Amino acid sequence: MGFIVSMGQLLVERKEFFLNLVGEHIVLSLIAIAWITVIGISLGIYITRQKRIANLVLAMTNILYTIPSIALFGFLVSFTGIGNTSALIALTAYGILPIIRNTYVGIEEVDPQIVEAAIGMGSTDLQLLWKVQIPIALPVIIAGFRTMVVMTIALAGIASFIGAGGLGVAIWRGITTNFTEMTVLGSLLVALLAMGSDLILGLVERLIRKRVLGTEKGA
Amino acid sequence: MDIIQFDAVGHAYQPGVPVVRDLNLKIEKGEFVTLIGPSGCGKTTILKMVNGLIQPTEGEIYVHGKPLSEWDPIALRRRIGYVIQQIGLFPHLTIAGNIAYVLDLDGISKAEQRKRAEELIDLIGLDPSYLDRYPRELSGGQKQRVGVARALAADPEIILMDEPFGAVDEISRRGLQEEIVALHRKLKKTVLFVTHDIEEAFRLGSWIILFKDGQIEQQGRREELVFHPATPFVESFFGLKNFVSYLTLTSVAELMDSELPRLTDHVVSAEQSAMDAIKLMFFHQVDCVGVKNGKGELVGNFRLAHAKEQMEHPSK
Repeated sequence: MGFIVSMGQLLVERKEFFLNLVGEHIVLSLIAIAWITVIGISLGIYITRQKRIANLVLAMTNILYTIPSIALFGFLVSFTGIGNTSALIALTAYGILPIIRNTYVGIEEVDPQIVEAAIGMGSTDLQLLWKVQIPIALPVIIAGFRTMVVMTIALAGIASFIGAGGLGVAIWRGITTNFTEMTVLGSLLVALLAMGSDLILGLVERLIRKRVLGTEKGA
Repeated sequence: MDIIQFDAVGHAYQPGVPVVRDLNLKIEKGEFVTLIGPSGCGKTTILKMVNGLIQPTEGEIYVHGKPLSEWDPIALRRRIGYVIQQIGLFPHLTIAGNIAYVLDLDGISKAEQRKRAEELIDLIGLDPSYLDRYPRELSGGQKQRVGVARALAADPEIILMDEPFGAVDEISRRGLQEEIVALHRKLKKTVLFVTHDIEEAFRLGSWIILFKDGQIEQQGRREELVFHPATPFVESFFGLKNFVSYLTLTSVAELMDSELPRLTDHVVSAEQSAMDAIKLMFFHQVDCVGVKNGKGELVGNFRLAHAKEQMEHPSK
């Protein structure tokens, strides 16, 4: 009980400090999310049109995904130095897999009969994509997006180890100065951000799923 | 002029294994043609070659008098209605959105699209309230009607149908068949209809083409296929069971002797099937029944000998 109270006191006393870190954390995550979304969805769509390289691209992103995050951060520092650039590259590399995979799988799983009907009625490839495949794949793409957002927010906490801003700063400072309240409070705030985004995106996902599939349940 | 023409067309998915061979075929404008045959006979491949979903590996196909190789496939497809087996309605679009899909591709205004969807839903006999519903809320038969409406949206002269009623139950299928015949009479479109159901082919097509191993085995009106089979295969394909279908689908009016209205103890009405007349004759052990029209006037008689002559040499 005493621990929670002293954590609360810390939050009130250092309000500016934490608010600043939350802001930085959100900005860092948002930039990474934007990059991942643009690159991931484009690549995901591209490999549905170039099936020969689809497996190669998916395998490569899979490998990226299996590298321990600390190792990747450390590796990047030797190339792009300490700071936000390295952090953004690492976050993008990690978050891209669920987006590419879900975009690809979502589009590939559209009923071939529906695709044939769309082509047979005279859709161009772009019309097929925008008017049929992407709208039908949207629930799957959003599910991937949701996974990626939560992951990116959580992972951005580690980014402070290579000099990026965000709540990781509080966690790191807490650990090095043996200040447990600081560490736990920083972690809690990261978790809160991640869970909040998850909750909101979950609602969005359900709405879209209902619109496209007529049911809120998973496919 | 022939609206579709196949000129020595062949198709092979793998080199040396043709599924369609040396196909020569002319389809007249306004004809309802059914393509029938055992599975693997190439009938679906032939259909998909008309709208360029499958390219012929040999020969040339002419649509509206222009060789397929000179058509822009997108423009061609927008001028040809297409209905497939599993319907393929778009789950994320309303019924209105589905019906107007081709119009949307052409960049036609939303208001125009709506207007056309309203016209078409009326044509296929569904309530306009369905326009704002989604395909998942409809029954199989209703979805199939929407599939037909969607194919009609851009008012194409040619409509391709690939076993469209295969997945609906027997009763809905009967209703759909009757509706499609009525629609054809009203709109005079050229329809190519693939089926493996002989009764369906009899019911729908004014012209029936039987395929075997990628080639035309025989084509003609249903009487020709039933009574003058060109090969043993045709004879076995349109066997006794189909003679029964033929009698069920042929009205007394088509087979009666109208020059001899004869008063008999037993009377059938002209719209009844030949099968009904034969049952009546069998049941009462008579060899002739009278035929009356809708107003109850005696208009002819039905005898087996005369009926047989009519079947083999239709006077119309």
